[in-house]
Amino acid sequence: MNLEEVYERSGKIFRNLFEEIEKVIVGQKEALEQIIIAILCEGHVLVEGNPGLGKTLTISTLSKVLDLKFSRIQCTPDLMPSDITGTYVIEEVDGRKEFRFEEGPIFANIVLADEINRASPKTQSALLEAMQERQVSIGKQTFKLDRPFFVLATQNPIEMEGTFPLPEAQLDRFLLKVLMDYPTPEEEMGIIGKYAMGKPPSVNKVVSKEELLALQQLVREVPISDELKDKVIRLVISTRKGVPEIAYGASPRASIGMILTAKARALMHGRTYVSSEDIEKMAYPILRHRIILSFEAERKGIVQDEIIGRLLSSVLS
Amino acid sequence: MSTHLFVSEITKLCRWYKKTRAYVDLLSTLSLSLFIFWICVHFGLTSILHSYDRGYVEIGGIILWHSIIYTFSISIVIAEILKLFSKYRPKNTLKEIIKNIERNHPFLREKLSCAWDNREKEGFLVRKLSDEVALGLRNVRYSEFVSIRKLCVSVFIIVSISIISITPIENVSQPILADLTGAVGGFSSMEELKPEKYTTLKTKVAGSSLEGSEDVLFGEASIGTIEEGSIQLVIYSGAGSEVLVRDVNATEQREFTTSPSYPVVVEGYESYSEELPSTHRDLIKSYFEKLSEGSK
Repeated sequence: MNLEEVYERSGKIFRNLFEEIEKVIVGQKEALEQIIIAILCEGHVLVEGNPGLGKTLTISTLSKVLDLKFSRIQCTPDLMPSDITGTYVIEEVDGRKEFRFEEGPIFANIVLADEINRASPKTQSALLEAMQERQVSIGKQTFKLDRPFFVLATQNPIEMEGTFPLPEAQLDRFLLKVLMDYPTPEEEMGIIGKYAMGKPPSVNKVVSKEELLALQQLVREVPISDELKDKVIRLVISTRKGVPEIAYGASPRASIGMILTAKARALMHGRTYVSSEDIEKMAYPILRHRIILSFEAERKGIVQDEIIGRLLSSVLS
Repeated sequence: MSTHLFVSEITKLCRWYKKTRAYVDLLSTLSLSLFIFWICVHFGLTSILHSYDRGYVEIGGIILWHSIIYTFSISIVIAEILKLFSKYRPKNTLKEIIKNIERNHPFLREKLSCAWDNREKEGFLVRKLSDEVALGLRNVRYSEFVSIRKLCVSVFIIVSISIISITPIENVSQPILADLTGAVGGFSSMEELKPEKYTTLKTKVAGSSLEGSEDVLFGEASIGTIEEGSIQLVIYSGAGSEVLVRDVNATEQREFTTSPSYPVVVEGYESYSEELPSTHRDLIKSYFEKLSEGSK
């Protein structure tokens, strides 16, 4: 697909995408924008929010408007890795019994791992290779996953009993950590209007697989200035030393992710260049799950976003 | 070499700016030099220099004293040093241009810096961005790059000092100001001071003509030495009816006082010049002694 043509149509594509999702989701615009940005960067998203805020609904709606293969994994403590990746099953072919690989839900374009922190560490780690390498190794065989491939995982910060917090290594593999907050009274009124009065709305597919792949390619073409690249690096490095509240800072994956997501945001806003506003907006979802707070900071009730805000004001000023 | 349109726009802007900046720099250096020169003259630097070198050059009927040329040269050097250490000293034309555009057109800021950093890259988004920047640069006016305030200050200083310098000064307390007037304006008064011919600096001793020297003191600007002090003077042949004193050594004007050619000192014992015999002298002496005793 011609990139120039896709760029000319990108405004319309994004407008249709948002209009379609907004038929189902009320509010949560920032979270929605961040999830789409992650998809444009071919990155994985961890969505965190209290129960009932529409995490799962948002992701499932998104999968419906994108013309992609979608699968959902409801994570539970007894979920096995093979339940995700798939397994060999014995099959009779022409009177002979053969092993045939039965693909698991991971073989899709969009994988919704609902309540990922409820899965056992063994199962969680089965997602690692798939998320990073975009391939699955079973036995001696390796299976390539179809592109595009995203894991959109949800977790809630409460009900921690019987959960397995994701290890830092796995958290780092998520491009963004998106927070979903409670809706405003006006938004809540809209939600009631949609879901308590009549038939739940349905959505149409508005973005094809080819269009999405072309948009992903286009994102990487968006130019960025050296000055902003330097600011991103300084911001990420500043999380590693000199901040007493941070025990462990962000990895270089954060720098790559921040530049890439800033490019995607610029494209989404119809710009041909990355602005400092893009960096500022994307710094929070990029860094919040990559910063490990010190015990002292946790004791004081300091949250990651507070520190990111402070670092941003010192680096971007 | 980048083929982007905005790069050629900026290059064109750079070329124009370099040329304009050279003129503005020259103007500001001139104004600063004149200001320093004016201070130097008032603090007597020209007088000090003149005591070492009393020469001058004549250009188109205007006399320029060496001391004034030296003072102005020193002023230019000081002005250049000050400009060199000044924070306003421009360092990089391109950086300055871009900074200026970014300051005056904030909406272009990020676009321009992004397009500039990616000017060597190809790709339709880069090209699209460079076209947007080129379009934005068309709104940039050349006059934005010249500081009107700075220019006005420079012109004001030059005009002010020029006016001060060429205004005729009456009852000049500092003779050197008359030099400055002559140097800048070329007044007719300087014509009066102009020597008939200039070969080398001549030092004459006042009164030497009275002593039979061949040098003629009258009607010519000369350096005279009176009471161990150097003064420049013109003595007109009309029996010293008018004397122009041009003291270049001292900061205060000194009165020219005429004095006799020969010192007249009369001692009592030298008044007896007659050749009297010793007996007569003794007689007269004893007469006066007796007379004085009688009065007691």
